[in-house]
Amino acid sequence: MGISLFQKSLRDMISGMRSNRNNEEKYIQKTMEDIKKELKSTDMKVKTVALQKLTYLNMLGFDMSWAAFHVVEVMSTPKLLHKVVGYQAAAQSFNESTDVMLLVTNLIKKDLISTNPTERSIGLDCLSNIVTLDLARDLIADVYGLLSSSSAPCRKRSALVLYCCFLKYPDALRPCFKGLVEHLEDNEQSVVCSVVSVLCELVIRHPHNYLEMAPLFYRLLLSSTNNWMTMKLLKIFGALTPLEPRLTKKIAEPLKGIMQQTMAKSLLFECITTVCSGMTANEDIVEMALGHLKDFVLDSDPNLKYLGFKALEQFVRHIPQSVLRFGNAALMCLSTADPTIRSSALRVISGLVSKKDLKEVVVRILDHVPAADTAYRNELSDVVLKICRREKYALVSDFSWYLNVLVELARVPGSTHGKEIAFQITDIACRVEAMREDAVQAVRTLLIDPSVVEMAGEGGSIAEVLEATAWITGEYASCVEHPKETIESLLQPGILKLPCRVQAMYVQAILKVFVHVSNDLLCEDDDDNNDGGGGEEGEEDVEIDKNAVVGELSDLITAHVGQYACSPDPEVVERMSQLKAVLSLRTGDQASDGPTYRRLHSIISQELLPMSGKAQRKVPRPEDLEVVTPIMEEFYDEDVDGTAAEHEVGDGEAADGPEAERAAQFRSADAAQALTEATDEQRRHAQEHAKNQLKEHRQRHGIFYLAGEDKEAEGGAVDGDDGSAGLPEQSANSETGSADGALAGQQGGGMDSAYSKMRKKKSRHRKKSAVVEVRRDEDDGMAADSPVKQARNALDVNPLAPLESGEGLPEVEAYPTHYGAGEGGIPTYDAAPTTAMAAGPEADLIGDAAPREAKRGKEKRRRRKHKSRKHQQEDAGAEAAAE
Amino acid sequence: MIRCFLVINNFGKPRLMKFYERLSNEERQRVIESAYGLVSKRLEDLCNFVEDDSLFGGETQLIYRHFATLYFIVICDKAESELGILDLIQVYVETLDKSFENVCELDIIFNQQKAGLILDQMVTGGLVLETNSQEIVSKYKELERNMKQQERELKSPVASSPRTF
Repeated sequence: MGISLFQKSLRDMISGMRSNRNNEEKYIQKTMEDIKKELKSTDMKVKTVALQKLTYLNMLGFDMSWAAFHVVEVMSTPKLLHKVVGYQAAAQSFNESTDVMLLVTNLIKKDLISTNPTERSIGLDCLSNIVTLDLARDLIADVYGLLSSSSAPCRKRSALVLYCCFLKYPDALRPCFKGLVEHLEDNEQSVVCSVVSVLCELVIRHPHNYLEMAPLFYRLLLSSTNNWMTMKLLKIFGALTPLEPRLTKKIAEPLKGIMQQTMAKSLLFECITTVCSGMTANEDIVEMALGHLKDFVLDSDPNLKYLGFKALEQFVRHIPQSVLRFGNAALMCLSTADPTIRSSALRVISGLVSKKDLKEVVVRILDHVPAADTAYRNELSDVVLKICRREKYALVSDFSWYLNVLVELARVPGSTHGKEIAFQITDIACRVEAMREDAVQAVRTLLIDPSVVEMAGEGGSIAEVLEATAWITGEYASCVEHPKETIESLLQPGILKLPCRVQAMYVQAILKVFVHVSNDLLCEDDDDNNDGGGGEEGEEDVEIDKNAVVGELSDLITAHVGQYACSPDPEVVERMSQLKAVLSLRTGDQASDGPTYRRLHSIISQELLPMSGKAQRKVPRPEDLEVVTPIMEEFYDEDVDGTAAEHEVGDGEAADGPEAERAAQFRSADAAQALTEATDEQRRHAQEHAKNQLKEHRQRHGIFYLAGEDKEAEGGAVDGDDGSAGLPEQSANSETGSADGALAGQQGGGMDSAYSKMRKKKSRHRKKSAVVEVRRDEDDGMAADSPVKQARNALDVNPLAPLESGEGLPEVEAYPTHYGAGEGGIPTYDAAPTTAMAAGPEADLIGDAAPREAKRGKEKRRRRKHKSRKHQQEDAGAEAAAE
Repeated sequence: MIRCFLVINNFGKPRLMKFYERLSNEERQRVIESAYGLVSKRLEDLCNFVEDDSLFGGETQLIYRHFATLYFIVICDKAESELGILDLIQVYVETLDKSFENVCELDIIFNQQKAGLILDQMVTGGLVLETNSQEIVSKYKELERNMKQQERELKSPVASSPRTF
């Protein structure tokens, strides 16, 4: 009793928490200790208050699973005021793994068969909250019994609780179903309504089992006066009509009637959703629904607007042609401030867009980009990219325009779609020969704009677009119109801020453009291919001029390319040295330079076709090829580390960005030194050797490099993290140390895949932590599938089929007579003789005769009243009794 | 089916929570956190629906209303009518208002149990039981009356046969 005097009440505790805001944690810790002591108290009042406090703290996130036994203690008090506290605590803290669950069964059973309506109702409530398979099995007969109680609120509640039991114990559905359905004819509307709610849940999950009941639902729909119930019935028909088109005809008339008469928007909306879920074939009613839908979409209430678009999304999925008229309204909505409505409108738009109006729609979507915030901007970009890429660019007829759209999207500040844009630009340029010139022109604007490079230097995914830009410029150098300008822009100092692999791509592009231009200028016999850089030269003094132009370009490059020497990435340094070596070949004499450049050009001009991502797999692996063992242990590790660090920095993901970069610099600077020790001669030789090998290899296996199916190419580009699938030649000459091109490719591929695996793992990990994962309790450890899900599948039974012999509800056990009065307050089980289910009420009376003597008469009357009900149960009951 | 009914204040503190699905403590807190994250960043005059696939593994919608300092949040699946649930929240708030007389956040903080029991008269096991505010109030009052009456009844016999716990 001592504690009771000094015990803090719930109110005290909350006030205390509010006044101790600064050291709340300490206060709660102290309170928790008190609660632990108080819970052990013998005074029920103290215990109850402690539990109340604990429940409150649990809501704030503190664990209370350790107190499960005390919860049961409080639950078992006869005092309702205390019991309710226990029940609420149980509802909040119990789950399948709670081991004291066994003790609860009898408590609730006692409530369910109580004559006190309050006890029954809180018992039912508690059961619905904590029901497990065992509880459902033991108590379902009682709940089912309450379905025929004389009190309407009780019937109503027990119908809903039955559903909770079905979820955990699906075997009960069939035996109970008949009795449940009978209550559709209950004279209390609210009971009918809750039975309909339960049926709605059941039908929506497994509609095919309930088709036979359609006439019954139809009758209810006609007679229903309760909007809530009508909505549930409409939901039911929404699930049934897709399976049985004939129903459409039947319910069209009542639906029309409802739509015309009702004032309730919720009911009207339900009618519309019913129409779009399965009645789209009936033009009349679709027209009518769309008429109402228009009011929703144009309504100024954001809720109705949102719902309008949500229904539109459904219509777009089934009959896009008839909702075309909403396209404009959807486009107008893109400027609303509500992200939910905007997303929905965007989905509608992307479903409605056609080849004809693609340009207009995309332009109108892009109109909203400047004013949007970053998230919305990305959403808009995403929609455009997805619409256009759909079915291999089926909607795009003007690729030249689309390339410019892509470039525009790349410039969107804060864009996260760089990878996708880069892929699409490269994809189009690779596949469509006629588009290459346009592609080079389109990316030129990105290339020569120093602000873009600056933007990329600050992070963001535009760097990926620049990588593709550089690749396209280099690869299709023959389409470059202003070589000097291009080379100048490829040498911008800002490029040093870009990720290393982009820098490497830039250096490579310089080499390609230079070689191409030189070849064009210096090789006379190349007249037929004179559309390149030579165009602007004066017609006279051609030879001197040409040589001078090449000289000028060469000087320009030599003057600036040195900036890459301090790059932390060996790849960049490596390519820079190559470039320098090529430049140093120039003697200034056209006669000797011509053939050199022609030879170099013949290597570079080899066209790279889009390659299937699976192509490498089809190349038979040479038997003596060893790809698993690293060639040099320490180098291998170094390289992987370097790449990883670089990727991290490039993507701006690493929290310790600068440190990682510095570390990578140190490591790879050593590696770079080691690699550049080879002379330029050797390197060039190796490169040429590799090129030739690759060429030979291509000739031999030419068939595998044919443009693969779109899907495969896609896979390749997505897989190849640094674009190795699209740009196979880079991987070949990136490993000059080993002359074997094929080996290099394989090795690179191996590392790539290992790396991408690592990345994938990482990203998956990240995703995991970001997403709120809500598992249902799997604590039973029985199966990977959650029990609820299993139960839902198990509910897929035909409840209308006659019961098989032996199928029925478990029997009602009489509950123990001396319950609760035992030592220690632990409720005890009593294996009293079992009685058949139909005899439930009698069993109650036998079990707990004394306190209910007075009510026996009433009970009898009730039973007489429900005698007819019992007759119907006999089918089920007789079987149960037979056991 | 309603998955959970939450009342969270403007600062993300839960004031009432009712889960109709068995979740662990941590999972519940995560749901509360992310639900708050979703609704708190929305301006006042936006629609009351939020789509988020990460809550309860998709196929659910979050429907909320913001009254003064409290967010009333319902997470439910597609079997519930969107506007119906909005009305339900309205009904709940009205009912609280009737039973507390000008309900405010403090009422709910200090009368957890009452707020929870009122909700129980409205939703059972995730299914809607009653949508009439008047009816809910009278059901709750009846419950309260019965509990108190039983308390009184028990008091006299308790003296003769004390329970030993």
